[in-house]
Amino acid sequence: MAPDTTDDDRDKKIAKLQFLIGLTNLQTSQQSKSKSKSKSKPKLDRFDSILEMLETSKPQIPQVEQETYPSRTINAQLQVEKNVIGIYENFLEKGSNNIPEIETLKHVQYVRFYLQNPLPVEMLGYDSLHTWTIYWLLNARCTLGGYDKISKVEKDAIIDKVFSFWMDETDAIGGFSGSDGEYQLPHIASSYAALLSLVIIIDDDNYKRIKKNLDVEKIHQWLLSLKQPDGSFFMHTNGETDVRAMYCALVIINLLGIKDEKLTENCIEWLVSCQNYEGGFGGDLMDEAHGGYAFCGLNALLLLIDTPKQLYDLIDVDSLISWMVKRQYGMEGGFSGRTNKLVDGCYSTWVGALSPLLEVVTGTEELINREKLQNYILCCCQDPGKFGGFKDKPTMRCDFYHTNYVSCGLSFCNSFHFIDEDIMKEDGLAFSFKAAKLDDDCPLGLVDPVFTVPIGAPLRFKKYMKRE
Amino acid sequence: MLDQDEKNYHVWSYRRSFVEKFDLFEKKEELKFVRDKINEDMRNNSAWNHLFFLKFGRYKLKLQKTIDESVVSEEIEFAKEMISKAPTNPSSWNYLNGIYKILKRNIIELKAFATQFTNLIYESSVSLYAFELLAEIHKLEKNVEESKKVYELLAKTLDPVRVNYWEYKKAQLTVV
Ligand SMILES: [Zn+2]
Repeated sequence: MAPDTTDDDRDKKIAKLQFLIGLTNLQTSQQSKSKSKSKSKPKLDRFDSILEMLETSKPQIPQVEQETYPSRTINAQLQVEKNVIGIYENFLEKGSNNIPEIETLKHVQYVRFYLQNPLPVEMLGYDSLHTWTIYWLLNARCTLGGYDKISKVEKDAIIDKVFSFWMDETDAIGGFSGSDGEYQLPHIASSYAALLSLVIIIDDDNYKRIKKNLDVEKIHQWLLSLKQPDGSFFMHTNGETDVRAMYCALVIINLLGIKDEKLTENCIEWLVSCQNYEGGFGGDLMDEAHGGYAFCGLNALLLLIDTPKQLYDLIDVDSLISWMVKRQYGMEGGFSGRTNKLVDGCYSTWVGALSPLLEVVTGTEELINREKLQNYILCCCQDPGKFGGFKDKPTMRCDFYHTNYVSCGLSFCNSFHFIDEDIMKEDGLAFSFKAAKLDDDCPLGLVDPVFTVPIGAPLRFKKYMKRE
Repeated sequence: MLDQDEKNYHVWSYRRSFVEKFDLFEKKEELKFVRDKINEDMRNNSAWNHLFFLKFGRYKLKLQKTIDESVVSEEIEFAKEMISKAPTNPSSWNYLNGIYKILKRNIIELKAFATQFTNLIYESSVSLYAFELLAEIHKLEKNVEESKKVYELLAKTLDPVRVNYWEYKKAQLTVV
């Protein structure tokens, strides 16, 4: 297929790359003391793997096009590429001793500080997202290795805070709202975040209190009132419907054990219709494929079906995989949320969680490139100084949202998932995901790809809710 | 938390519901609007998605049973023209593949078209999407060996970031 001349060129390139990698192997092998006891194939040293990214990935957009058809998309992409190349080159110049590692300590400090102190003025924009803020910080702290270190006092304070957002909409229905203002209505996404926070901290000591405060019947009636004939859910009374509302509703329904025919009617049909021509999911029928909605769409289906293989009867699994892997960019290593959009750290979860799920569904060892995603997160999403937190891309500031979803993404890079068949039969597919670390030395906690909380927490919560 | 990108997403989504509500699928101004957007920036994926909706939405929504062959071939030609201008643009390739997918059309008829973007001498006009399509076509033609070669080329040389994916595709060739 390829003429000889280019084969030569290619061979030269490969030889050059091998030469470079060979050289750096000499340099790095002396410094690497304890290597991972990884279960899968041997991994490239991070230094070598960054070098490979720079050597083998052409920029996404060839210069030729830039000259002929300049546009906003091309300019923005080239800007990011230039920026990221600079960062990677800088790290390579410093040598293999200075390749960034996971700096869990400073990130834990960052989330602990904001969990325990009132929000600073510049973050008041988050005001309507109070339950989300609690969940993001709490979950990031667990993912970064602090799961066992949350004290009883802190847990009690979080329970108080979460229940301060409880709203009775009428005598019969209620849920959690986004802020403590009186005008706020119960909101599905806020309730999802509130519930996940409780899922994370529930224990022998506090479950009775959580059960007593949580009015499951009111939530049940409220969700029924939001249910639409086409299967979708309103985000709140007279609100809008989208895949996110469906996913959040199904998480709540599954966790509280209130799944019934009325709530799940037409859900599958509606979700399936949201997979679009590109293979990903949009927010609604025929909307553009988007990482956030793909996460919600696939997980909503997993919260409805009994076995992973059933997925093949519902959606085009292969085109979802094809769309998912195209979200990863060769130069940057991170994911974009949509075709022709820029890389962004939070898609390490929205798209990154799809990979372990689809690996389980297809029985494949690895679909995305974990190593290169990890390079992007460590080099481009954390600040080099003493301040913690994660961000979207190098030019941005750290925030709670990205701190949580980049942390989870980093955990996915360092783990693989599998299904516990007994749990699947007993408690349902969505509760049956288990995980193991790829590298035993990795300090990060394991994350559930369906619920995005510490692995095992959803099932534990469900069992506490049944306990007397 | 909505950034500019997300706001744009919602604007396109409203536009789509508006078209659906007032049946503006074939309205000239709407088509001109979206084609202009693509001509202005052919990597504007939201615009491509909207064009797909205008052209194939009534069919997908089951408001009509078939689509005129003239509409289909016009859109295929449009996608091909845009691909020729910028062969590495995933938006136009996805549009072309999307048409074939929803209409269950035979992609073998795209063989000659895809092949022109797989000539490695002209590096600037090489497209991963063309190679991927070609591998699928070889598979449909029951030419497993050729298909395997393309996946190996993608995995080892052309697109190493997706090495796991191309290996997965290769492994699938032998699963019956
Ligand atoms: Zn983001």
